[in-house]
Amino acid sequence: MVHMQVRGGASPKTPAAMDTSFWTAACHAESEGYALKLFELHAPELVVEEIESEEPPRVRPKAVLFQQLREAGLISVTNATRSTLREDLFHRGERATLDLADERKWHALINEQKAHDYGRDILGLQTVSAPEMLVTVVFAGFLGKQEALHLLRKLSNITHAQLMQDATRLIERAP
Amino acid sequence: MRRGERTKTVSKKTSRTERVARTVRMGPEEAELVERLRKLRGLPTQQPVLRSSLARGLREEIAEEGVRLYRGGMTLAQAATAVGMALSELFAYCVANNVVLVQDPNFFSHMAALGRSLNLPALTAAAEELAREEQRIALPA
Repeated sequence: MVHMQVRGGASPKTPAAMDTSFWTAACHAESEGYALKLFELHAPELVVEEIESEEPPRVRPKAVLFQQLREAGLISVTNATRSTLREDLFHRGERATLDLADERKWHALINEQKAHDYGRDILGLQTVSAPEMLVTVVFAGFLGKQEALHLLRKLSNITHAQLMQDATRLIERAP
Repeated sequence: MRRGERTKTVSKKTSRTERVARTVRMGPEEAELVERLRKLRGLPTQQPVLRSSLARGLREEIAEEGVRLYRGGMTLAQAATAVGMALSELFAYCVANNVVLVQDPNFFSHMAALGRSLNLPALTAAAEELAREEQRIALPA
């Protein structure tokens, strides 16, 4: 278990392997800063490539932000030493993320149902989607309830209605 | 190619890009829409309207195929690669068209476990309480 000091203390952050899907969704909800505050972010090279070199060549805001954070050392580039997942399972970035989280026993940040569930149910990892991260940062004391609900609503188009309702109820129960 | 469609390759000296010309018969409603757009944009010909409409329409058709592959079992990243689209572009299409990317029927129990793993006891307690409430509702009286 990783110990987190609640209410914004200076304890070490929890290391996590991050996939492109999580970065994309977190940026869409304007909550990537909270991911950085909650987790020590590690992205495999394949994920870095997916985010920064996406075709067509165009400077996307979330790619530029990611690149700047990586160059500043706030996002580390970390690869698993071995690959254990079948090549036909998921996209290569998702496989690299799950391999890394599995090898290091880290949290896996994935906003993609199939890879998220596989990581949690088959590999036994703690997988975190963007809505789950938003709920968590409220309980960690980094974000107020109303602000969290506002950010959560930005994900409502791509998040199942029941999950939105459950996440809202849980946020409302935060101290 | 169906009857009524013609294809010819047009190479212009002024452009390095090889263009393909096709003739497609439009229905009166489509033709009226093209003409309406031409007028609204103050264009001398219908060609730019047709070209931009075709490009936009085809991107959307490709994105729709990506969503179909996603719903058929691929991850969104796999689907984007399969249809030759950028993941962020397909993601944006999903946002615009309400394509669900995450759901969790056992959200509260999973959040309780996440709270334990991150040493956030208040999260675990609140999630467990809500999970118990859900169970009480689900069980017959």
